Amino acid sequence: MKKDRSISILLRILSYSISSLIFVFLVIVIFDGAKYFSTEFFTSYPTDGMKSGGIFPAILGSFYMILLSLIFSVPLGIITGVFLAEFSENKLSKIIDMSITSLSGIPSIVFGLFGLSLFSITFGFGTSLIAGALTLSLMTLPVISSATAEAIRALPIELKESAYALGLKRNEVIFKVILPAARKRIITASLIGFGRSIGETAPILLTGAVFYSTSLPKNIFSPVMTLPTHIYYLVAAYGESAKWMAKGTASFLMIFVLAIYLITFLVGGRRNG
Amino acid sequence: MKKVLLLLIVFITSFGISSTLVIKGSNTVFPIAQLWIEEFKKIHPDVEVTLEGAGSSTGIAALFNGTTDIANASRWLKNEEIQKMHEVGKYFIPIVIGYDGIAIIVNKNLNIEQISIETLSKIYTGKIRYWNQVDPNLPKKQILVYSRNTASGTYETFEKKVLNEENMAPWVRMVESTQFEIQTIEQNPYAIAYVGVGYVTEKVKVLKIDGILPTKENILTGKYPISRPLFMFIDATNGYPESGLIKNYITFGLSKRGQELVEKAGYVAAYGF
Amino acid sequence: MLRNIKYFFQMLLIFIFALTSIVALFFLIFFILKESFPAIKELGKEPFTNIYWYPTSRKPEFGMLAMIIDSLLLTGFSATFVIPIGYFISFYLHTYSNPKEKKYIKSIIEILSGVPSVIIGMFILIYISPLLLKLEIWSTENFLLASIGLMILSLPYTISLMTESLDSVDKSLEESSLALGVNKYKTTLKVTTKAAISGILNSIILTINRIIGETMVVLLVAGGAAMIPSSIFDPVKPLTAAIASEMGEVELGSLHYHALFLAGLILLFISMVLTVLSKRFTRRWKR
Repeated sequence: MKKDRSISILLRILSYSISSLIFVFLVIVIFDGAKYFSTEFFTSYPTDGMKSGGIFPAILGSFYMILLSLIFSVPLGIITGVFLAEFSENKLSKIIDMSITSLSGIPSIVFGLFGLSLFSITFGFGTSLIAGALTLSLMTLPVISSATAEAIRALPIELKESAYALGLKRNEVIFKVILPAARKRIITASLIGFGRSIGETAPILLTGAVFYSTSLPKNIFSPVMTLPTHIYYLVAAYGESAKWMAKGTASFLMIFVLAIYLITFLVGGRRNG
Repeated sequence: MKKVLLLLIVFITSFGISSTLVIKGSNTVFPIAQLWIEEFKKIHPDVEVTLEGAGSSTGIAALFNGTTDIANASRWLKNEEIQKMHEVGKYFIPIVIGYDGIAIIVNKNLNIEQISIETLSKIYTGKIRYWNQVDPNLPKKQILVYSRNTASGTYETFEKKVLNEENMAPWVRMVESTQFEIQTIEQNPYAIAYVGVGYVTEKVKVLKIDGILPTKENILTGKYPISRPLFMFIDATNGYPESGLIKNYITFGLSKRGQELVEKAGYVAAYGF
Repeated sequence: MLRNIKYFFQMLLIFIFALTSIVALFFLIFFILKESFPAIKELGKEPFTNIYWYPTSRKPEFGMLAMIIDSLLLTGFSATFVIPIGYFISFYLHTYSNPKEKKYIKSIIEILSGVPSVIIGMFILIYISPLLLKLEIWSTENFLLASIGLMILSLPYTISLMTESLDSVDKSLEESSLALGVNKYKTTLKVTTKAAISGILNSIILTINRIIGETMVVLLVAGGAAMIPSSIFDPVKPLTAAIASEMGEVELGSLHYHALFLAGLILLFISMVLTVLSKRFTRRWKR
């Protein structure tokens, strides 16, 4: 028993210290950057070599990019998840499962390379919103798909059985019973996909983002500024004078990600106890 | 080859639809371009401009790919690039927009005022690693050697004029931008870097090379050993742009106001004295 | 009749959509292979035997060995710390923590997992790097900082996976052990961990996969020098950082361009091997 006490105290100290460090980290990132918030910060362009102005084009660019990528990854992800959960007897299902798992393990920069060679070069989209969005959608596909599959598997089996018993065909069971029942979880999954992709930098570095643009993207073939790439450029390519903007952008991005987590929590309830 | 053609066609058409001026290339010329763009937009408010400053080589590469209108460069074309121009049947023309010297900078607290080209070369090729090898009065501390990455025209010029095309030591730290180097030098007493003279601030110390400082006069007269012209390259395969966006931008850049801005960015104006 | 048509089309839709993942993976592997091939053909063994990476010099050298070693060293070093720390924290969460503590710690860990890697890199550069100068360590971007960043990034992964494995062990196993008088720590260590070993190994593999594939943190703080480090304060350039920083400057179709794809191929290969291994362990564990 004594050993238990001492070990538990040691481990408790470790866990608490690490948690506090994380907490401190979050506080620093959010509050040290939030002091630069102002209406100007959110509504204007960067000016004077990033010494003043705001991050509006990056905010908008990020939004466009994520939304466009979700248009692809959400339907594909949901259906793939459905297939994995509902057709697990099918041999194809095993292969798809393997593919999804493989995709989720591939480094983000390799996705960037793929996006560059397929969307930017072969399809000719160049450095554009659409190239970045498509690349991002491939990255979020596994996340949404796995979460959907899990959500569907968690549904009570009586739900399906009663539907079949009533004479519904497979497609109707899927679209009219299962999907609506798992709706909450699926929305949660999409939100998580959204939260993950807004912070991804490497894949869009090569395919969609630019340093500095004086205008808003006109169509999906234009390049965009995005929040994470903006932070990267500010830190790597600018000096002291732009630090404030990097901090501010990071703070905003962090708050946004936290907000998504909060919404996920409220909508879906905790999955792990 | 076919891919390049397809890409070109898509891009030329997409450019025809929008009136965006795309400028890519040198990180050294970037501050000049940013100032120009800000004023240019005041004169032509309906025009959109995007700017990138990843390095001279990226700009020239983009010119070949047809993904940029103007390539800023802080170096002349490489032999391979000239050869490729012949191979693919393109004709790029240079426009000198200003002059620049490459300044060797160290921290203000480091007790050294001048350096010779051979010593500089030895530091960067790795034959000298400690400050006391440069000058016995200096402490025996490792020299933190910084350089721009290989996309940079500054890097190319330095390689050619100082290193005589020898390779840099593997421990030379390649960074993405000049600003980052300036910041590092400001804070780190044992670091050394080479930067375009326009980036120099009062917070760093510029070393004399063989007794000569990179003043405007020394650069213009060529007395300072590491000076170079700054260029804009445009694709004149289909003729010199006599009207349109590119022409307007060039005219602005070479105008009195444009050249004033070159000086404001810290470089030496090419015209308009 | 209409119902049957709907059936046909909706099922077709499901099949086609589900196939995209296979198609996507196939094309990804295909394109990376295709674009690396010219480098493989022209460079042969050089990337794996030469430590000098001078892709743009007059006499170009494409030795990736130094960068490969950098990637491996960084991964190994970071994993050596993260995995035990992750294990200890999961151990605590599983064995000793009360439900409220567990919830709180798990939430904060989960929030950390959502932090974009570029923010972690920025944080280290802006707040931690200057501390080094105060300590008279003049190398402000180095192996150690990159490793710290990687550890911060991968810790949530490790903890959540390991906790899940430990928690999913049949409670009766633990209860019987405790009933026999074995204390809590021994129970978790000898009984639960053993039972969850495939899950734990799986977490280790996935953590390693996450670390070796990370780009932004190393791009910002590792130093950008393609050399084999002789001290933890030396700058390094792992494969991921090399690709990210140099891809923007290569000429499409040049040997440099293909060499970078080859670097991507190496990463892809490593991640696929790790994924397959992980799948093996997951299957054993989920049983």
